[in-house]
Amino acid sequence: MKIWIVDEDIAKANVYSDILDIEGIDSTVIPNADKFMKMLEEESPPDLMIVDVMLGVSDEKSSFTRSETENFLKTGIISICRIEQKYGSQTVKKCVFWSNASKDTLIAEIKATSSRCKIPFWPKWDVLDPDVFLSNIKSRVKTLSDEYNSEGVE
Amino acid sequence: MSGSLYKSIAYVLDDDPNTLATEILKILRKHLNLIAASFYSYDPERSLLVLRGQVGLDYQNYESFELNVNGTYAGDGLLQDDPLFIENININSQRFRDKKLVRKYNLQSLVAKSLPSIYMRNTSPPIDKLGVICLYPQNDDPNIITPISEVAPLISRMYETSIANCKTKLRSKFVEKAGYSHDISSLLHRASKVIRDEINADEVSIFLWDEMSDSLILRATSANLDTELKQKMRYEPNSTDPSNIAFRKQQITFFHPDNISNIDQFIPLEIDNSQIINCVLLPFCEASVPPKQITPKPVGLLRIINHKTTHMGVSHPTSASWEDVLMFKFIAELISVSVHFMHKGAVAEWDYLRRMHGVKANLGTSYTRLKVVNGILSLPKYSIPEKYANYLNDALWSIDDIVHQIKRLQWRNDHSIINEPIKLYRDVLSKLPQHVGYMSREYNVKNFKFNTLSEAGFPEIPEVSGNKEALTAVFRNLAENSVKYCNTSPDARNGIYLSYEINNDYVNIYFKDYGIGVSAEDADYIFKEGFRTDRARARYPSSTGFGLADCYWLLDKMGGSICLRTDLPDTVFEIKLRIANKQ
Repeated sequence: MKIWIVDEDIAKANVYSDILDIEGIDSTVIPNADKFMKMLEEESPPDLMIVDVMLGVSDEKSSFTRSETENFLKTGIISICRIEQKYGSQTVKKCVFWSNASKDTLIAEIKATSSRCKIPFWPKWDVLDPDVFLSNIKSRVKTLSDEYNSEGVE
Repeated sequence: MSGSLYKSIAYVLDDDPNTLATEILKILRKHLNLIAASFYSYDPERSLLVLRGQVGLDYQNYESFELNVNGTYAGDGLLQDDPLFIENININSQRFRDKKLVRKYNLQSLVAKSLPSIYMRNTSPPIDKLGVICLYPQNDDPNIITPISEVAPLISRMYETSIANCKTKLRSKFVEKAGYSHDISSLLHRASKVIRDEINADEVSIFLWDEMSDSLILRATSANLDTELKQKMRYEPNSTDPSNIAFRKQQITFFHPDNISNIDQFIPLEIDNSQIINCVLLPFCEASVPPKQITPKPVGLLRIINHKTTHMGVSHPTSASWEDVLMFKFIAELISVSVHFMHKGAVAEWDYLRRMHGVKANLGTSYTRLKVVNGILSLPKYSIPEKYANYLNDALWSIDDIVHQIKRLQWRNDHSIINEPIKLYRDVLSKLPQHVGYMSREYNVKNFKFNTLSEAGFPEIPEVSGNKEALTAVFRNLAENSVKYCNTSPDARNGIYLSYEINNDYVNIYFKDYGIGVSAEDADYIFKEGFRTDRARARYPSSTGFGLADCYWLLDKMGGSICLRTDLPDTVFEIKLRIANKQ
C-alpha cells in the first residue's frame, strides 16, 4: 500500500507519516500543491492521497493563483478539481479531504466537492487518534479496491 | 415691551427645532400684535429659504415650502443686517410670492429681519445668517423694528441650541434602536430606518467601501428591496452613477429639481426615479481625533432621498438648509464611528478565533504524537528505529509551544507583563539552539545552522529589563520564522546569526537569517496583526500571522522595540532592550 499526505504543515504530516511507517505502510509527505501536481504527472497515483484544503503552494512560480484559491485557503479544493479534469474520476476517488477548517462557508464547500467527487472528508480533529486514522485509511483503501474489482477494470 | 418679549422667548422650553420656530412666532405675534409671522431657514447652496414655522396664515394648499432669496422680500431681508420694512405690500406685492394671502389677510406691511448666526460662524464652511423672520404688523407702523432687532440674536441662539439638542436626541435614538446590533449589517439596517424616520425622508441608503475590490457596496437601505437586488448593488471604480462620483470626489452632492434630470441613472430604488425630488449624497470618512494630521480614509456614502419638511401636517420634499446639512453630517459621523467600533470588534473576534485555531491545530498534533510515543514505548527497545529517538522530546516541545501560544493570548488580554532584570544569555538565549533543533525537525529542514553565542560574546551581555517568559516567546517566534521561511533551494545557506552591540542605555540585538526575506514595502506591515507577506501566505496559508505582532507588542511592554532593518542584506531584525538599572 502506498499513501501520499499532501499538507504544508510538515510537522503534522510527518507524525501521520510515522504512524503509517510504524504500521509498515509506505508514505510520502508532499509539502505543497505544485509539487503534488508534478508528482501526479511523473508517477502513477498511489492507493490514497490525503489532501489538505488550506494547502500551500510553491515558493517559485506556482500554477495556483491567489484569486482562484481565495488567498490559498482553498488550494486543496482547486487541486482536486484539476485532478478530476485531467485524470478523471478514478484518480480523484483516491483522494481524501483533510482539514482543520472551522468556517461554515468553507466547510460547506468542502462537503459539496466531496459529495460531487464521491470522496471522503476527514476533519483533522476527528482523526487525532492514530488508531482511528489507520482504520480510516484501511477502510477507504478497501472500499476503493472493492469498487475497482466489482467494476471489472484492469 | 422688549423686556417682557425677551423674557417670554427665553422661557420657551421647546428644544425641538421643528416646533421651536412656531412657538417663538406665537410669542412674537402676541406681543407685537401681528397678523402673521413666518420663520425661514437659509440654504446657501441653492440660495433658497425653507419654511420652518408659520402662524396666522392658513394655507389651503402649500405651493412649496421653499422661497427664492432672489426676487422676494424675505430674501431681501436676509441679505441685510438691519430689518427691512416694506409698507403697502397690498400695492407693492410684486416681490411677494403668495399674493392671494395679501388680499385674504389684508396684509399691510412687512418687516423682514435676518437672524445672525452665533455659533455657526465657526463651522466649516462658516454660516453667517441662519435665516429670516418675516413679521406682518396690523398696520403700516414700523414700531416693531426695535423689539425684533433686540430679540433676533436670542432667537438665533435658541434655534442653534435646539439643533444641538436635536443631534443629542438623534444619537440617543440611534443607540437605542441600532446600538445593540451584533454585526455591521444589522447595525446599518436598523440605522437606515432610524435615520429615515428621524429626518423624515423617503429613503436612506448606506454604502460602504470595500478596499479589496475598490467598490462601493450597498450595505443597508430603508427601502423594501428584493434581497437579490440588494446584493447586486455595487459601484465599480469607473461607474458613472452620481453616488459613486460623489464618493470618489469625497464631495457632498445635492440633487434637486433643477439638476435631477441630468442624472443618467440612479441605482434601482423602491421609489421610481421619476419620483425623486431631491437627493443628498454624503461621503464619509474614518472618524479622526485631533491632532491627527493624516487624511482620513474614506469609509462610505450616505444617500438620502426626498427628505421633507413638515408644516401643519403637510410634508413636502425641500431643499437642505444649513441645519439639515449639519444633521446629515452628524448622521454620517455616527455611522462612521459605529462602523469603526463594529469593525474593531469583528477584527478582535476574528483574531481570537484565529489564535484558537492555531492552538487547536497544535494541540491535535501533540496529542497524536503522544499517542504514537505510547505506541513506540510498547515496542521492544531494540526494535525502536533511530528516527523516533526524539519523539517524546519533540512531543513535549510542541506542548510547550502551545503553553506559549496561550500565554501570548493571555498577555494580550490582561497586559500582565512584569519587568525585572534579566540575564538574557543564561535565561533566554542559551536555550534557543535547542528550540531551533526542534523547529528544524518540525519543518523538516536539514543543516540549519546557529552561530555559537559564546563566541559572539553573549555571555557578557549586560542584564536587561524585561520579562523572562515574554523574551523567550519573542526569540522563539523569531527562530521559528527563520526555520519556517528558510530558503529551500538545494544549495541554500540556512541558519540564524545573532550579534549585539551596546548603544547608550540599550542593548541592540541583531537577529539575522538567510530565508525568503521581507520586501521593503512590506517592512512596515509585518508587525500588524494578521498581516502575512505574499510568499509566507503562499507557503503556509493556515498560519495565523500574529507572531511578529506579538513580538512587537511584548517588546513595547518591556520598554524595548523591534524593527526590520531594510538597509542591510539578508533579513535582520533589530531588537532593542533597555539595560537594567539604567531607567
